[in-house]
Amino acid sequence: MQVNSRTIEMGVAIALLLAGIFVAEQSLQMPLDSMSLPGPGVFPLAMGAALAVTAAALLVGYVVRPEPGEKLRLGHGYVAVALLAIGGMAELIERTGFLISATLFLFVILATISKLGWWRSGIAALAAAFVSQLLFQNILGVALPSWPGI
Amino acid sequence: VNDTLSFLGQGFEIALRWDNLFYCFVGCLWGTVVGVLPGLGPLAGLALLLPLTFSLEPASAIIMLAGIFYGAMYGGSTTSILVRIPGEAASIVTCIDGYEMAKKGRAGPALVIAALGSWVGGTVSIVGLMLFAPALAELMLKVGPAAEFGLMLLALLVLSFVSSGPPLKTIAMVLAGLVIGTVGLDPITAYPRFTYGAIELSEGISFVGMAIGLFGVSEILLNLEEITKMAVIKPSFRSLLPRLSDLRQSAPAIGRGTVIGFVFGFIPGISHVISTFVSYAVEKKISRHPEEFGTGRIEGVAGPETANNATTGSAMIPLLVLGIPAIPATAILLSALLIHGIRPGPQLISEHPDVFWGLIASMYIGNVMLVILNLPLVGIFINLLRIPYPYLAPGILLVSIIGVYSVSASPSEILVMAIFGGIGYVLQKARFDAAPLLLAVVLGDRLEISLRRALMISDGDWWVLLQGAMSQIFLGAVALLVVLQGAAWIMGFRKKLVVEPN
Repeated sequence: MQVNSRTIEMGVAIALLLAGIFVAEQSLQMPLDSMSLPGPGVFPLAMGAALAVTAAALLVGYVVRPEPGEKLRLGHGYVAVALLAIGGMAELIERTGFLISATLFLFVILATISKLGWWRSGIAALAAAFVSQLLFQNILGVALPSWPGI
Repeated sequence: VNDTLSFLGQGFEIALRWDNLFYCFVGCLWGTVVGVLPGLGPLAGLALLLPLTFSLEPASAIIMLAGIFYGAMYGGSTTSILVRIPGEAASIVTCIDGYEMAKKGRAGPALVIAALGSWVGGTVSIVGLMLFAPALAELMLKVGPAAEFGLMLLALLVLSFVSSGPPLKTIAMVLAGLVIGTVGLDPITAYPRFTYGAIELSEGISFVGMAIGLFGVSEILLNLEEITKMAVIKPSFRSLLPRLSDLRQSAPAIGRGTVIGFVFGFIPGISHVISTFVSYAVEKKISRHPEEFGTGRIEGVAGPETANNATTGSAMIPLLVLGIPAIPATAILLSALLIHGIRPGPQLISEHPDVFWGLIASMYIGNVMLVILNLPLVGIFINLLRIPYPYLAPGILLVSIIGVYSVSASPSEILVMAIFGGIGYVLQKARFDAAPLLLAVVLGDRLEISLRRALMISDGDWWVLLQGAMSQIFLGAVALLVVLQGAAWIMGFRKKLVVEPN
């Protein structure tokens, strides 16, 4: 997707503005105590409000001084696949164990971005996952979840 | 001086133990590898090996992790010179003249001068670390919560004003980092903030997951968008030797780069990157042939490469003595120290002399190891770049996943990494620098704790923040910075108003 760089910058500024407002609003529901001895809500309230003000200033700057910007690519298919694969591995690692989840993770990415094809991607993924488990768990002593439930 | 030499001697006893030599070598080797590979910088390299240090002695763990940190600075220059792709951000400037030299068949001298400059810069900065850190630690022992608040505020302000991007964007990133840092139990009352019942959030958002996501995963995502085959220039071993004139031209640049890098290492932010740009600008400014910069001038390689390695020693001073990570990679070192039960601060040198002096001695040894690793073995490292990116990227991502998962054996760490990977990708597209955000997460906690402790001690009297010489110095510096920045902004704005209508 081709997007103007100024649009992305404004999008980030809007996200920061909303985050600042949300944090400030949520902080008001925490104990604030007094100005002399601030409670747990005061610091996030101050930081949230400051973030919202700064983000608003950024937005005003974009509106007051509009610049043409440049066309940028945002959200390539490979990026989405990689992020979904990482999320999927987070979901599966303790349910299926490291070997299965890592094989699936590698297979999805290899089958998508390399020119290996389905079969060879599957074999390469299984081999790489096996070698990783051997290296990290058996040699380097990193605790990885084994077979489901173990 | 005698005391320093005696402590250094004890440090060498620790660093020269066989196991520590091995860990130092592994750190330097891995550092060089992550420095060479585009998309894996020192930060990701440190985060990936961090879990493997949990079972080591604290001194051994820090020796290995520090080796990765300064090793990556060496490795980054190799790809800049031979492929025109910076292995990490601090080597961007080296691409300009380094690659031009390589195209003219002078890759060897460029690599040798980069390695020699790195060695000089790195070694001199360790001498500085060894001399300044104990003196500064003695001074900082007198700092109470009020002065600590002033110091944290000063660090955050410097972080906001000294950066590569517009100040308003950097301030927004610092504030976002401070907000993220408030997630978890309140450090004074243990009141849950923004946890919404999730136990995983009670200790805050995973720092390692966040760091790898923002700097490692986001870089890989950007590289996945444009997979290109790298054209690597491979120098022969015989062509490595520089000419006498190369050495003569480089020596002053190396001297200036050392000073620039060492001074910039103290400044929170991306000082290791900025120092290289400053060094390049200085070399071009004082050169008799500034027009030749960009066509393969050796000073354009010698100065910046020296500067980025000289920051490694000085960046350790605020980390070890003040507990302030000046650059993102040292934030991971801070995490490592805390995991091993060592709280960086003025007491570190007296309470853990084995860690401090062992680290310093190992840095001397590591810098020699790196010169040996980076010159004769350059061909081996270059072969890493021949691995097609579609095969390299999944491997790096899998190692990242293993790294973050093993921090607390929790899948939520992987999710944090994915989320911050996406955030880092968008931030890079929008030209927001993520480094201030990450550093603010670390510093925010201490800013809040020191303020609230100072107020508790003084029974709610805000004037306590201005009592004591140290507090006054830090807050005076804060006020000066704000005034200077305000004046610069107003003058810049006025200039715009005057110039733009014309």
